[in-house]
Amino acid sequence: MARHRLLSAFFAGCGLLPFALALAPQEPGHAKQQLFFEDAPRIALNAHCGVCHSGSTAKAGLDLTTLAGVMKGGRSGKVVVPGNAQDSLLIVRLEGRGGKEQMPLGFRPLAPEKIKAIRDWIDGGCKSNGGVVSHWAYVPPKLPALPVTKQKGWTRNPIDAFVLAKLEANGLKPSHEATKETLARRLYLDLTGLPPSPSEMDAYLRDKSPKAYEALVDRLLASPHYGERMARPWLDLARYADSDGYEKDLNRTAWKYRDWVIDAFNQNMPYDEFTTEQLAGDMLPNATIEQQVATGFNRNAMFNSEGGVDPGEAQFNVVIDRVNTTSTVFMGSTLQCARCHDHKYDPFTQKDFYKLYAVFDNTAFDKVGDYKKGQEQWYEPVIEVPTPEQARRRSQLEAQIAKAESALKEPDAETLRAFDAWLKDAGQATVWSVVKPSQVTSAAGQALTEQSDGSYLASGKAPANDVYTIEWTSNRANLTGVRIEVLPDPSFPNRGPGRASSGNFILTKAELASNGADVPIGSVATSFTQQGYDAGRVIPGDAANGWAIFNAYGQASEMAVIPAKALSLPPMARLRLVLRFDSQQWPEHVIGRFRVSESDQAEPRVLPNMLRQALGDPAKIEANRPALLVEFEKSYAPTKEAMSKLAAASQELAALRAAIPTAMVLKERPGDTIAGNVHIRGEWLQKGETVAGGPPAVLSPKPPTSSFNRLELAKWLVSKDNPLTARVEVNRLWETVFGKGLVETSEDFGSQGSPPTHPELLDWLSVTFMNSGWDMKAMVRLMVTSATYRQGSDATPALLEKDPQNQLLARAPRYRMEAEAVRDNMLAIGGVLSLKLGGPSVYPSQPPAIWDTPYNGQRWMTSDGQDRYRRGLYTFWKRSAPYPAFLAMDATSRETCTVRRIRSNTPLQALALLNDEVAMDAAKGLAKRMASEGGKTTAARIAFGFRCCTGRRPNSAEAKLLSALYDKLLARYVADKTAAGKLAETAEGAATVMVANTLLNMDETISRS
Amino acid sequence: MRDKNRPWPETTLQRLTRRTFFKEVGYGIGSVALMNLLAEGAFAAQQERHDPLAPKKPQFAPRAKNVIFLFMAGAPSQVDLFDPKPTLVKYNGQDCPDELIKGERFAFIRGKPKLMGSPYAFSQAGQSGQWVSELLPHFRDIADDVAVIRTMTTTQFNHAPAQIFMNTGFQIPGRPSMGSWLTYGLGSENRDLPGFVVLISGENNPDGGKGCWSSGFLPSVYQGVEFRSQGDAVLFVSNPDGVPSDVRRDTLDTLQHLNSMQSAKTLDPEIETRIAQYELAYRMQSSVPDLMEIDKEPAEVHELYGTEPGKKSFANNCLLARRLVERGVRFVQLYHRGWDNHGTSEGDDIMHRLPKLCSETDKAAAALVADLKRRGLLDETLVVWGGEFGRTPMNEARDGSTYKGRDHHPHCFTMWMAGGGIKPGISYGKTDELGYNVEDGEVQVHDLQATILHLMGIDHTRLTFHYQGRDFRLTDVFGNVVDGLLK
Repeated sequence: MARHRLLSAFFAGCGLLPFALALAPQEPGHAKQQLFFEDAPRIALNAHCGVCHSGSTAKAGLDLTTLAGVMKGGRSGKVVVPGNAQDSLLIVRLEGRGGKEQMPLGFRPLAPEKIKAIRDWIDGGCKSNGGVVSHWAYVPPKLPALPVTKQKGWTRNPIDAFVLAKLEANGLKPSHEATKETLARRLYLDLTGLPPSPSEMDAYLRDKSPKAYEALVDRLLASPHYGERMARPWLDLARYADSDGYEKDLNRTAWKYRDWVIDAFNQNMPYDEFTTEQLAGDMLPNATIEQQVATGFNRNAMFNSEGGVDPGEAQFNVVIDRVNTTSTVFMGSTLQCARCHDHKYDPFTQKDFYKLYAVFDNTAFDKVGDYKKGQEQWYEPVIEVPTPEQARRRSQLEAQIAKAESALKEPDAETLRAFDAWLKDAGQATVWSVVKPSQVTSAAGQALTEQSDGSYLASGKAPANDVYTIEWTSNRANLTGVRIEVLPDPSFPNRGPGRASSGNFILTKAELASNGADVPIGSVATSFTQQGYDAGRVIPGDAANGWAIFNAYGQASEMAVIPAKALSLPPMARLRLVLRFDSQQWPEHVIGRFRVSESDQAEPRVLPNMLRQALGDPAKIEANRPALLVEFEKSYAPTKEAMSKLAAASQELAALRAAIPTAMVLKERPGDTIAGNVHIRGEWLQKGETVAGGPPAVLSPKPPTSSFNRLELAKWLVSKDNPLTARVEVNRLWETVFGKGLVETSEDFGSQGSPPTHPELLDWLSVTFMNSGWDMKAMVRLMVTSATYRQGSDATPALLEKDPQNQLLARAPRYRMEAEAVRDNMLAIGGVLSLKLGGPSVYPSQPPAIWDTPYNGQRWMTSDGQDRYRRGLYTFWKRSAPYPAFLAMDATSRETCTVRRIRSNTPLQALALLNDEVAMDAAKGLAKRMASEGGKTTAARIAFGFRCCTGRRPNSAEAKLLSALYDKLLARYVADKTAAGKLAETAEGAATVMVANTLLNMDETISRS
Repeated sequence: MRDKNRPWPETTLQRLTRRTFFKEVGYGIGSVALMNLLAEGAFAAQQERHDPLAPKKPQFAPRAKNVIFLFMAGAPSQVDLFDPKPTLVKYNGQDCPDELIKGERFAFIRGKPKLMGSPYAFSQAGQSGQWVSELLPHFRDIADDVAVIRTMTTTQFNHAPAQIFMNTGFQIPGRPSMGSWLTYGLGSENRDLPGFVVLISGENNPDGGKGCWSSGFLPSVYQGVEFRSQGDAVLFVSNPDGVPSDVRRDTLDTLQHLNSMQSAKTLDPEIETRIAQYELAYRMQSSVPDLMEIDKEPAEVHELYGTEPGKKSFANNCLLARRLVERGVRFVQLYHRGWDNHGTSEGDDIMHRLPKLCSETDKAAAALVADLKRRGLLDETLVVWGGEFGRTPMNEARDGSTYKGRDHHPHCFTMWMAGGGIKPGISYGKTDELGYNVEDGEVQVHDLQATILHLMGIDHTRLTFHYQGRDFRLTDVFGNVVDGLLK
């Protein structure tokens, strides 16, 4: 999977070589541009005026979002006078002159520079460039020259040159390098999401080599936990979840995709491959299972299976989501705005949206169920993802089964000989004598009327269930069997012989008695039994099974009841046969007409219906040979044995299949061309013109074509002339290690997003990234080995005044970790975190009654053992009821793609960190470690705990505070043994647990600094 | 430093609210409208508190301070409860006219359905003479305080999307709910409880799941907080076993001290906020149990509501709702799920299940309005009752079911509102003779949302949040305040 890329090789040993690339001559400076409507004026007017002044319902009849609208004016007349901004009504109102309220009404006035841009445009004669939008993000990046800086000796790599130049331009200096402890903890958290243990920290502090830092970076990048850490934000982008979303929110098996992401990061899969496989892995030549699993990226879309939902509409929403997510994740563009209309701010048309819609609307699904009954459901493909061992066993079994099946297909000579003997033997069929019952009763009160042929016909209302009792007197000395013939009759549906509306019946139990004593039944034989039913079940009795005859309607069938031992009868023996019809699932399935016979011949049997009907007619027998052979083999021992072996293998295969994990994948509909409809106002039923697939026009001159499929889309995204893909990804990697992107709105590189704080740096990184072969680890390595990254994070009053948001990076960022990282960090500090990689999602403890979804009985079953303490990204993610401790800390429901989580600070977070069972498990774990690893004295133990949490030793004030707390708690718990006993075995233990709880709640513990 | 490329409100915000959470909320995402709301002086208080839930001044004089939304999840039948249709009764059992159902998509009905008049009698109540079904005897007592809207319409006819739409103004989960928008815009008067509280009774959680009270792209501090009737009322509010309250206080004192020292060293304003939030958490540990102790209410109150302390019931939740607005909580939402009366069995038909649902909710809902009124709280509290859509005037008869039931119906349904500036004792709007379509006075979901915001002193077009490249609002690009509902 991994390709070795040039850049990582270069950077592995030294940070300087690639700089030569950066010294390429800079592009000639841009000439001063003529100001067009399409530049600043259009964007400002759209953003600030468009809410009221746009579209068909524009206030005052004035549309300020188009050039035509602005030039036309509104009900008050013209609003611009070309060449004269001062007297243009637009400017008068924006500046609040002329005694009228300042526009925009109810909102703050426009910034002076924006008004000036509009003024300049009017004064310049209201020029237009004909609708061409120029925006930095749509112009392919070029490698800029490194800026020259005054301060020498600080920079470690090109990143620093760009950062320092900007600092110097703003009169700022970088901060001092952070302490070694801080740096080590920062690296561990940023690159693996886990804190260093005290011993790992010691090892790093002991390493005095000049390359100790870089060596640590390389070690952490090679850790399998690097993949887990990098997967975390990617799973938000991919809206990865373990349930469908919406009402029923049924569970789905999606985790193979999650593991694919972890693995791809660990293997350092180049970003172009990473992109291509997720979008179109299934379409690559000879796609591997892994490459198909990657397409789970877009299979992660929600799906609404609520009763009454039109599956076509549900699928439409799925495709829309795929367009939105793909544009956001790979293009940093808000293309979703163009679902209903042309984008208001960015140069994307509604047609652009549906060109991509067409690309994603060509995936396969199965339809199941009747639409007319409201039961139709659509399913997208799922594949099996076996381990090598499972795959081996699966193919063994499949081979066995195929062999057995082909052997059974063609009978061998011996079978055929036995078959012929059987046919011949049929002529000497068992002699059955029809009995003359003394009594025939129906417990449910049906009339059972004797017919001239000795049979009995049921009439009256067909009951749900019934019991027939037939009694007769036998004058035989021996009884070897009793036969029940079921006979057709015109009075039944389908002529019966059953009374159900189909003509079927289910005999669920048969009992035989002689002179009041039960006669054990050894076996039964039937002339025909419905597939899926087992007539033998009538012996023990089984309300859910027995003898049924679906498809043998309107004809006779027979069942022979054979006593376990041939019965010697006393003279004039009174025999009783009881037939029960107990099916709860199938009411009215009672026999409608029957006749009872007895036999004293050895091994009495009944012939298959087909044979019986053909008896005495050699031509008919000859014509029905193949079918008769099938009937014969049902009772032919060698065949039966082969069948049971086949059944065992099939069963094992089924069990194996059930154990093999599945993955949700995309498949392309073969043969179809890439085309779709524009949907007017974005509505499913409102179809407009047809468009072929293609990239947004502003980003590519390629015309749409019917061959622009997902693979073509992926190729276009990762082509080097795509202006967005590399920028969007390096910005996200920057966000991963610096907490905030160079473009802060990492989800929106359009005109409404924030512009990059360091545009040249962004371009330098983007071009370098592409030139490196899209090497993600190398890029991360470059970032974390910069001097910029290695600064301390403490602010100063002067810095806060000058750059409160730290946009210029005169210090390292400091922020609370993400939800999953808070959990991982806490459990790692407590020494209870499981480091197991991958596998099915797990159910750590959560409060009761979080899951309660309509029409869905699925329950949260708390995992056992180490699965309770797995890393946060393995927690089962149910969209309608996400894990509460994560939700409290700004994790999302993963219903749609999230690029950036908002970082909030709330009392519910405090409650979770103080009181959640998980938090207490961590505190108890840490307390144990403090006692066992921390040393003998209280002070040493507290210092150890503090170090586990923060990476550093407490200063004297901190140590004093914590010791005082410990002493106070100890006295408290000595006095209250009951309370102490709930936390630990001793009062000392309880006090330590609560000190640990305090340590784990420190802002420093939950923050990356 | 001010970045000249950045839109003005954020630069202003950054300058002004340096020490608030908005820094982390990021800037670049939003807070445009909030500045607007803050512009008139409430700002000073905000700055001192560093608190996103501090009360903020509305845009104009509000009619209501708080909202109680009784969400009847599953969608109650309007023609059996509030909108009498004698013509429908007259044509009971006849084929539904073709012109009504031509090209129509139903959730479950297939083929040609039959009209079904209500089996329940209607009569007029109160001085206003509002029509009400015999299934709602207690509603008669508050008929003169209520505006019944018969002409609600929605665009969605499946539960989850329709509930999400009613709450967030958009049918796909991911946008902020009404309660989140209101607490974002107005903060909350109570400092010891969340500003947006959700209470659940009935069969299950609502079909829309937690998306119904999600803060969407707004900061999670505006998320609805579910007060549960089982276990901790608020998740994690109780101290763990073995941690008495004084121990918790001691640990918090040390913690706050340690954090203050960090704050002084790093100058990270988030630490100050965190210290404040830990204190609020501590206060919630007593304010939440205090709130939940409804058994301390006098017997007369329990009789009025039909409450039984300790039970998971709509009645208990109505009483809790009153206690919450008394304490100044901004938005309280009750969900009672079960109104999905398709008639596939006795368990979901209109002859057995519907009367049961009415008896579970009618008394307590009426008691809530009456209780608020006698306490002088109805003037400042807006009570809203209703589901996500209506039900068909036709019998569903799914797979030939003989139980009476009605399918989902988005073209007209009934909701009611009381208090908080609502014109009392009126029936708003006119539906056709069969109760199929609106004839006059359509109120779309976005109109209802605009009206609720208006009563709270907010122009729905001006409560916005900038996210992914555009300004979002509760009402999307729609919505008109329904003047005819205003006092």
